Amino acid sequence: MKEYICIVCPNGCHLKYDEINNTCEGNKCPRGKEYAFNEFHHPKRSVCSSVKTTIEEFPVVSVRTNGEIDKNLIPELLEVLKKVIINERLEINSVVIKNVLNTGVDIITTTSMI
Amino acid sequence: MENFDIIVIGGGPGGLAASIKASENTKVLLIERENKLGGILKQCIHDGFGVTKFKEKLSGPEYANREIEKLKKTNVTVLKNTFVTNITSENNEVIVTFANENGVNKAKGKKLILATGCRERTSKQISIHGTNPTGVMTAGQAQYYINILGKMPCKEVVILGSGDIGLIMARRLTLEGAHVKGVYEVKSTPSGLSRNIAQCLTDFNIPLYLSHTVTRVFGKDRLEAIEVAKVDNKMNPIKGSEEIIKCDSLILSVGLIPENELAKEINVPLNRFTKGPDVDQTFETLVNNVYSCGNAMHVNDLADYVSESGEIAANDASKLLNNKRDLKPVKFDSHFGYVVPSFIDFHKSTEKMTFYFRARDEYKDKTLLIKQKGEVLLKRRYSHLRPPEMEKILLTVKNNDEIEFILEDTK
Amino acid sequence: MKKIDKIYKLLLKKGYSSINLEEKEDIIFLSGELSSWDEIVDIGLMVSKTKLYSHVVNNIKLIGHKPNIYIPSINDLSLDNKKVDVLVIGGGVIGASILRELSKYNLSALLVEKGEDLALQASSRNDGCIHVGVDLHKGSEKLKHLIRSKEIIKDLCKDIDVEYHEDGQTVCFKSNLLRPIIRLFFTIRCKQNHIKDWRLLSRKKLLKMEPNLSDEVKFGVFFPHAGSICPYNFTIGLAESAVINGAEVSFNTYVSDIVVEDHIIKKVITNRGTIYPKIVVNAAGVFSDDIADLAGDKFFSIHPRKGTDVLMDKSVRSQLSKSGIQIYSIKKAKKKSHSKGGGIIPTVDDNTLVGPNAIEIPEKEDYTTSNEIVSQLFEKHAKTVPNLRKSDTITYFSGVRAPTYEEDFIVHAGKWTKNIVHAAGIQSPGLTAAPSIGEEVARIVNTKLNVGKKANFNPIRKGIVQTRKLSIEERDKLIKSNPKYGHIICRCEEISEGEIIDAINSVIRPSTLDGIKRRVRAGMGRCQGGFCQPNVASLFAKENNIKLEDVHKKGEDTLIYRDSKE
Repeated sequence: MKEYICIVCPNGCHLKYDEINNTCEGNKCPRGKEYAFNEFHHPKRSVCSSVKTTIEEFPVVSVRTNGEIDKNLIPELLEVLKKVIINERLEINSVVIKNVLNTGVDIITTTSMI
Repeated sequence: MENFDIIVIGGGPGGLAASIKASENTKVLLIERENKLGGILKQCIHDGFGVTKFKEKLSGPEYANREIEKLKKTNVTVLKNTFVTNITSENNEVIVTFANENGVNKAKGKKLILATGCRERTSKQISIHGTNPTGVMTAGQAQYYINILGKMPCKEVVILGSGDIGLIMARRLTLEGAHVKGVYEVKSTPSGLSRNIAQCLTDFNIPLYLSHTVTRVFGKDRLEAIEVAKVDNKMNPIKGSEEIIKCDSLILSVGLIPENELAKEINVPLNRFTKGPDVDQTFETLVNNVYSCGNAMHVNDLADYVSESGEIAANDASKLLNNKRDLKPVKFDSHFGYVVPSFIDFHKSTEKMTFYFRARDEYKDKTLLIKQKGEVLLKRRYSHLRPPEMEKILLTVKNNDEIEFILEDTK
Repeated sequence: MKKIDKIYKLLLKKGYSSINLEEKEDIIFLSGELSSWDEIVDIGLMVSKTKLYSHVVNNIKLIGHKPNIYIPSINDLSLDNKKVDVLVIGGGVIGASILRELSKYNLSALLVEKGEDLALQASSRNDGCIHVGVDLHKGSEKLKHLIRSKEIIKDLCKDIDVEYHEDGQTVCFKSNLLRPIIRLFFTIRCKQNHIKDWRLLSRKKLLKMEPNLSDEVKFGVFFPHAGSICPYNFTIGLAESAVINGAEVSFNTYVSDIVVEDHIIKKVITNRGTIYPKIVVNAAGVFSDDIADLAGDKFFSIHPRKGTDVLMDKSVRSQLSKSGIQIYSIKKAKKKSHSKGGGIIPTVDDNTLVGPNAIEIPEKEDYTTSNEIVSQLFEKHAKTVPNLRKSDTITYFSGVRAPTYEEDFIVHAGKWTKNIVHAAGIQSPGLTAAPSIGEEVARIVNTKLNVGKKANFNPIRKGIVQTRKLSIEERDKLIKSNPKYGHIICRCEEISEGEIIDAINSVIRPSTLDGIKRRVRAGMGRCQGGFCQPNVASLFAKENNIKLEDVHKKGEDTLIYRDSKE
């Protein structure tokens, strides 16, 4: 049994998910159960952070994943981001790392450095 | 002195949207005190912006960038690094005095839109006592250090207040390697959005302590520890429940205050519930020709609504009308934190007016009734209402009279 | 009966049998241990009130209390073997004023301060009032120095470019029955204390001046020549003027010992080396009795008295008071004549200060605040001005006054040690009295050294321009000469980059961000530096050519950044 707060809509249902029987309590709609199922079996998140640059005006530049990655990959992703240094002024949404950690998801900048 | 139709003060999401909208048929000046447009969005690098406006989940800087790109295609005059030192308003025109690196200059406008945003409550405004050490800061300040400067202002952190910025910062600090020992909230319910509690605290096993507050801080130079205590239902600390927690930083997310220092200069009446100006359905304040929008008008929880309010204000302002006003109040019962706008001007269109409101407390199964002289104009059911979550409705009023917002139990 | 026996009997009657008494000339020494600080202070005051001795040294210890004194951690030899004519200990307004007066003479002067800047203690933690001195007693040192200071302070402020406002002060009374007595009392008192201009005002007239007074106020006395000053800018201005004229200042310098032989100070030991002064000036505030003790000249005691003030937002000034408002209540006056009732005091920067209160404490550097005290201040003063609201608070702070048991200033040469001059026991109206105290100490020093005045003393010191207070034309011209004056960094106080750079590069350079704040108010406003601090830090790092990671907020261990993103 696992408890979640559903984040699909603003109702914020308090869910109780029974993984053995794949049943859910507290959800007002089927999306709650789907959310709980995904949260239990393969929770995914999009990640926003920043990476260092050598441009004086931007000590760091903000980045994000352009899709969701497995939640348990977050620590590893952060280690990867720590090592990134950007040496040129990039347009917004430039790809910094393609297919990061073989997730099929890219790391893109979210601030315009132009 | 250059003449404009509309002068917009503040280049955050509200001011950007207002400038873009107004530029469709008027001559616009936009004044921003920082060196970049975008306002607070520049440092809000988390995602969740733009779901309504762009139908996409964007980060703050991306949301700002889309608006800035739109602005570039207009003929709006933009003054950055420019600080408004004085405003005067008379005879249907507004004169704005401003200082920048070129000197002190003035501009004349027919209409003024104040999009001056909000500021954070500080430790002294919520009665934090004890010593006065380094390491007590607002969440926005920590956010600027980390997201803009790439510097860590803290290692062992306690967060006071469960407002959205506090929750977002709990996650952000954890991602950057700080240890967030807990989030303490004086109220018995969280102040932030539920999804932020889940994504920012639960995901990272950060505990949330409700009905708790910080009663004292210790450390002469650097913060060394804080004392927290449980509070009773009147939010007073309970003697004997104190606990000392070691930390080097206390981050405050204890509320935002609309910034209306300029509005006060031209005697714009403020509303005691929103702390922003009293406005009509086009967000014109009670001082003719002066409009307010965004977080200066009332604190929003989504940037999308801030942009929307800028557009609504600009839409009316750019008509450049000088009609007499016919204001009737919008009343509400004690279940509401506030309702915006607080007036309806019956010399303007009263079709599909946008209203925002917040519940004063957490409620389940309530029905909103909007009445005029006993007649129900609108009825809507809400299964959940929470103070952190603003609600929006569109309303058409035909008869020239005051209206009242009422919340009843759903039968 | 001998004097000492009278005191012994008095203490015995009050139940204090364990207190040891000793006398030396006209000084009485008390020692022993007690478990209540209030009792210890009461005994000191009680003995002093007998007037059998000229001073009380109260060495009674509080059981279980260990003094917690800040000592800078730095240790070097930057001042070792330094020979100076005069060493001033203490960088408050008194030390700074003395240093400036000394710099008028043909002598070398060094001021040492254990903190990292000037005016860190009582000199920045007060309400900035320039008093008229209506509450001062005839024949007191306080009154003498206040009268002299009032003659010179305006011109002094002009010379050192420090703002001085004369908005007046109103003492309010709550009962019309008092009116005849008050008129009589003030007629006599004002004549005696050289207060030429004062007016008794009916409620009606009072309301014209101060429309926000509560119904409780029935009449008042207005003193048009009471004023206000920024106490830390004043201190910095005085010290900078002294430095311009050749005096020196050393921060983070702590006097740990004074070597005295045959009643003469031979050397002063500090954490930055041993200094050899001809004369030592003791302006050490709450620590002046400790310095006197090190110098073998402790003939008085300081009993720290804490006060808390609340700083209100500029935007509510017009809703509070135009002049300083003090409330006078008979009850209070009878109980403790030394602690002022406090008031609602506008500052030169249009904020309003509410307070202070007065509490005896054993700790000399206890600057903590409490919710209880701040709430009491609001409760009390809202009775006079009902518009006072806690939500308009910008900040609050505590300071510690340094009274002796005689509750008067000590401005004279050492009693037993020959080459020390004390400026001790300074409390209200110490800020007002500082110019005169400076003059007198310098005079005493000159009688010992006999060096005479310099011919080329330069009285003028230029302060930092305040762009927000300039006319549009002046401001425009200034920006055209240097565009940095047009770039606003601190939005709440409207402080430009140019002003901040001026502060960083001023005559006595600040070593912290709070030092900049004291000089130009960046970070002093309603957001308390939330927006501008990172930018001020960047400017500070750039101008001083240091890394951002090495910028301090205030003292030691106040680095802004804990860690860079390496």
